[in-house]
Amino acid sequence: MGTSTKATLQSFRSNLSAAKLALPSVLTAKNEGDLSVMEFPTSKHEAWKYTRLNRVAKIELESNVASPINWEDFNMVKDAYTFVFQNTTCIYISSDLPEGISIKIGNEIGSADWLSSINESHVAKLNVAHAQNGCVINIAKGVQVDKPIQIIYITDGPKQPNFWRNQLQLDAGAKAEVHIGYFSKDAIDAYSNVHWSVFLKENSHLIMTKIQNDGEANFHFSTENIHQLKDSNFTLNTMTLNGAFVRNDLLVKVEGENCETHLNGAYVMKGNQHVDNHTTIDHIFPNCNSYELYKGVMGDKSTAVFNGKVFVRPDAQKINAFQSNANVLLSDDATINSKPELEIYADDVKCSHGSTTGQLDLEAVFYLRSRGISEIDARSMVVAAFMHDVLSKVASNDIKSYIYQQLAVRFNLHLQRED
Amino acid sequence: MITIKNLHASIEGKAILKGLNLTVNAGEVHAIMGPNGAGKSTLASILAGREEYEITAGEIDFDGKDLLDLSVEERAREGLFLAFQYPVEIPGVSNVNFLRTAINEIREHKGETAMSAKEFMALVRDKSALVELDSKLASRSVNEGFSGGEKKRNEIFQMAMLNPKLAILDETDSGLDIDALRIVANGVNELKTDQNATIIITHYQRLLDYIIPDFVHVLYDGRIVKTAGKELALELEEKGYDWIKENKVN
Repeated sequence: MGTSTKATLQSFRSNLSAAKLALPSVLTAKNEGDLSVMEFPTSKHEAWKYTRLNRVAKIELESNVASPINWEDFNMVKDAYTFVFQNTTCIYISSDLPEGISIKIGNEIGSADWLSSINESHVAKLNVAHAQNGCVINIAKGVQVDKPIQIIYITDGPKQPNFWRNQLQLDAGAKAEVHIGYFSKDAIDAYSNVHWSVFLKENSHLIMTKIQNDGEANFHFSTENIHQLKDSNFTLNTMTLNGAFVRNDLLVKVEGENCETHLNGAYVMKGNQHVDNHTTIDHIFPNCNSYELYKGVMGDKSTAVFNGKVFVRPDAQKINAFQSNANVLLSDDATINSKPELEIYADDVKCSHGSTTGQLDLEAVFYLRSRGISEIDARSMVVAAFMHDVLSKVASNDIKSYIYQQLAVRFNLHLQRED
Repeated sequence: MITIKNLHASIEGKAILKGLNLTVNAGEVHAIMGPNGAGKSTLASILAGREEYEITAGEIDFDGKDLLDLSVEERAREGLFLAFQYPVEIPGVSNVNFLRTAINEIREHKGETAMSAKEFMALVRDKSALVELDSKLASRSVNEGFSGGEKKRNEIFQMAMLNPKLAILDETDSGLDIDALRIVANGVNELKTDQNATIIITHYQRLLDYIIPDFVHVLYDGRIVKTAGKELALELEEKGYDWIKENKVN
């Protein structure tokens, strides 16, 4: 068919409302003009080579009127400061926020609250054009938040479009743990597009965990722009447990010395599911360490993409950057496209990357069975052993339990807690 | 305990076992010796339930059950144990955790209640001492970073934990120094009762200095061609396998 993809992006947008969030002109000025001449990227675009957007482009999105729900059905953490969005409405706000945490939601956010963080992808531009709700969180200088902050996003109803835009800033010396969950209810062919801009000031410390557990027929796009200033320590755990189609774009700009960056990712897929993790760590300053570990288990006809870029700029000496992506394919029809990319312009650095893909170790499965363990449990133990190191990076025991429980329900994977 | 009748098996179209007969009763230790390529490890693999072999004829009765009808794990639950020639390393799966799962799946199969953690740990202490396996090794990942001797001792440790009716030791002596050999043999001897049986598959006689067999069989070209008492092992050690081959041909 000779249909122009340009028309498709415009028709895709035709039912979408304009942004309700007040955004700064630095974001909005060119955005509409850019989008109006943009197309959905095709496989000719390097960043979308293995992720086709045809299925997304075809969806005729329509907003639903959601009925009241009990957000606690989606709760992941026992004791947290929690915020819950159901489609474009914020339905729950913890009332007990301590001194030093400020949070603004929806129309409380002024355009001046947004710090500059620009991303040129069509996903990010769509987010600017249609951002309906979201939050801006500030953790004040030196504040160590005593409980995790939990933000839950629920996509409710078929073909529901959700555009959420968020910002998190940790002032100097602040420390926080943030758990973010993406879920859906009664939704098929729903589309969620979430954007996070994260700013870590000097000597701040942040652990962010994303649980992507959308329904099996939903489309999820997640963009994170991270800015790290000197002596900061950042961890992002991306745990993809469900969803028809999940795309993660992570950009970490390390804009100061003595920073540490940890990116951990786990994806467990089956059926026709597709997950694409694109990560970039941009080392602009010297004396920093980054560690990246992504692991995936792919069953049935599922497909995965891993593309991990590490830039080391000319003045960024004494960088240690380690990256690893390992995959197990459980079926002959599952696919992984794994591509590490290192671009190093400094000469005194240590960088390594590795990518492995293999079958489940059937000799190990046989060994366990020969001791009396059922085949399904034996396979599950070997898969769990493979995933163990990346899942053990998730520091929160509540979140770990949540992940293990989800893996048990969806994949009959039984992981053992060590603690 | 186990009766193998006229067993024929092949792999990728190549016949390996060609009419093997063997009967092992409770309380007995049988050694199966033979030259390389005779089918010794094939026999062990088939008994344990490896699926890559095709059984073209014959039957195996294991304590009243048709063994060939049982899955790998069902055989284990019915009391069959294979000590591997090459034990597998499984990083991330802890030795004791997997044994606890195994013991409880076996107990469930038998309609028994699960073993308590306390009872289990006492058993681990007791049985790891039997094969002089450091209890730290017992709780590490299965065979990961174990020396050759530690892997073989871990096999006997698992055997002790699972308390099988029939244990098949596949070339358990290979790669063992004399001390490890003594420890492994001692473990096997300690576990011997009049209710269980052991099949030792070996190329060399030296393990049989420590574990005294009631019967020695020579497996050659897919069949048992000679059966005698323990003295046969010494004769084989002295004369090699060629005289068997010659006798067979003549």
